Amino acid sequence: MNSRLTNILPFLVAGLLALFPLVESTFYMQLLTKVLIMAIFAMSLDLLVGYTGLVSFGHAAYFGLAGYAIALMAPKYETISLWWSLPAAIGVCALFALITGTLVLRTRGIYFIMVTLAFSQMLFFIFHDTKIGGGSDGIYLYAKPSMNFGDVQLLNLEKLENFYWLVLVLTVAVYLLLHRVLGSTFGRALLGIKVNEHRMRALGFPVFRYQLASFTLSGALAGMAGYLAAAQYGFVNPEILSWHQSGAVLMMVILGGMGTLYGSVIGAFAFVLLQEVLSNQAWFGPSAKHWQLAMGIFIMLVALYLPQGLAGLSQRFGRKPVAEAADE
Amino acid sequence: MTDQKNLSPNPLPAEGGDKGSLRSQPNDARPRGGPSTEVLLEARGLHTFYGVSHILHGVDFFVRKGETIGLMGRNGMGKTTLLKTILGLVRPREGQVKVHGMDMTQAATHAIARRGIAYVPEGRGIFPNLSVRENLVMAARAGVDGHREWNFDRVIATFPRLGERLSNGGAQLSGGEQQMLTIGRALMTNPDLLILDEATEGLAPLIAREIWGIIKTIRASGIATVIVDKNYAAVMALADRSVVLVKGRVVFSGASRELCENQELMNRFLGV
Repeated sequence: MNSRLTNILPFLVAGLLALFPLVESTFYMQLLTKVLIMAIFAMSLDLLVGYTGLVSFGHAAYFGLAGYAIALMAPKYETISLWWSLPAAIGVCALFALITGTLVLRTRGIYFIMVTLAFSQMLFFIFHDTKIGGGSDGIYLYAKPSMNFGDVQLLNLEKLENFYWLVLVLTVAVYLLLHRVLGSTFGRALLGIKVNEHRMRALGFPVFRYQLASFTLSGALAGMAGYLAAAQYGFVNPEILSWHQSGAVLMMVILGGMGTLYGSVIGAFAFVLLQEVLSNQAWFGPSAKHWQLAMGIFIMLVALYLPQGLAGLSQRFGRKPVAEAADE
Repeated sequence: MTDQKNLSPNPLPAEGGDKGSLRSQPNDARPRGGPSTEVLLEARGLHTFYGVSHILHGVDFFVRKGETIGLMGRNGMGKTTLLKTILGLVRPREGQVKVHGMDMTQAATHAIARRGIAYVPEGRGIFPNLSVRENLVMAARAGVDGHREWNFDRVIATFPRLGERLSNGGAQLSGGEQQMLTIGRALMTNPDLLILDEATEGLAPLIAREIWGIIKTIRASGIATVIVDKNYAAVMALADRSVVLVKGRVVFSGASRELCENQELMNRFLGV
């Protein structure tokens, strides 16, 4: 792909998506909102998995924590202001990631996977087995967050298309932020760490600090996604903290192609839409109940024939990019 | 193990007589006073273990500012272990490592590197997922006292081959180019001391010669270097001082010329 095209393509896609509410129905708009939220979530995980070389199997912890943060902070019969609740929820997740990061980053490989899983399961059981946040029943959020400026309402998020646009803007913002971060020396250093930590240390890079920064940023962005998910459904239960959720987002990253931000977005689209299609009873009848089977087969096919994920398709059929052979 | 009187002023430690002793060996690896002998790196009495195997037996090693040192010895004698111990990649059980006079024995590797030591590891350490330019620019920083003689332009001027491949991925380079990239990246950190572990290993003779030429240039620029290489002749031709390791002990430390001219030592320690 030529680089001019890659530079404007995300904006083109975002522009098309922005027009979507003008033509389509409520159902698909909600579905697309969900896709975009998962895209933020997947991009945040890709920062860890694809760029820092840390496979986290507990990323739902940050997603769910932010969801609970907004649900618990919100007053019962009023709306909560987005201006402070979103940063607060992100901050809680960043802090939690910073603390867990200092512990889990002492492990590597399979142990890292297990320890991140353990932390997210701890959080799951805290919300599942105690009365905080309604226990296993979960907790409702009665209204969408408000975006007021003084007494003036800037955007009524109760309207689906407004909420959709907000999520779209945040998705683009996260993409641009990560794109910027990864293009900096910091991002190059993360890529170096992914390949060889010792080598980076010998070059004078404090590897642990870089990893912790990446882990914290990743947790914070997962928190943003979790906040939006809770706001969209108006309901939070321990399921959003479960390892299924961690697995799903990991699958989106792998499906889309690790180490390419747009791949994570593609992965989120593919995963959520495929899930929607395969579990559609009108199309698949009783077998729709077993949509996981078809999904599993699809993921296996991608893993077999597209080791670089769906993002690898553009490289397979497009012109070979310069640094193509670089991926081992 | 007799017949060592004629070797002064580099008395050799008696081999074998002190098995199991952890005391450091008497040898010449001690900086002597005098002008322009600022010591960059000083390691004393290093004992390093891999698990239960005792690799370094009380190694003393030092590098003065701007000095070129050939670190020699056959395979498995502890050369790489010594370098890794100096860099904190492996911790010594006993002994001390000082960089610029500061004790760095327990310091993190990155902190040691930031005291002005650049390590070019065995087997080429490029990052295949970064382009040539990114490999270089990523490492850029000022030296210990803020000097910045080595920047991107100077590195490219030193390695014109790299200049032709700036946007190539690291893995697309030939072995020689990868080695140049690794050395170039090390220079980007503006080190006072460059450690080259088997820099010419596995390279075609012509390319190896090119690398030696570059090492000469680097030496002339005033950067101290420690060279580990199988090509003893080339090392000794370049090095001010040679240090020979046998089974984790320093058995020779002195002017390269002395070692070079003493066929018996060459034969005994290096097998050539």
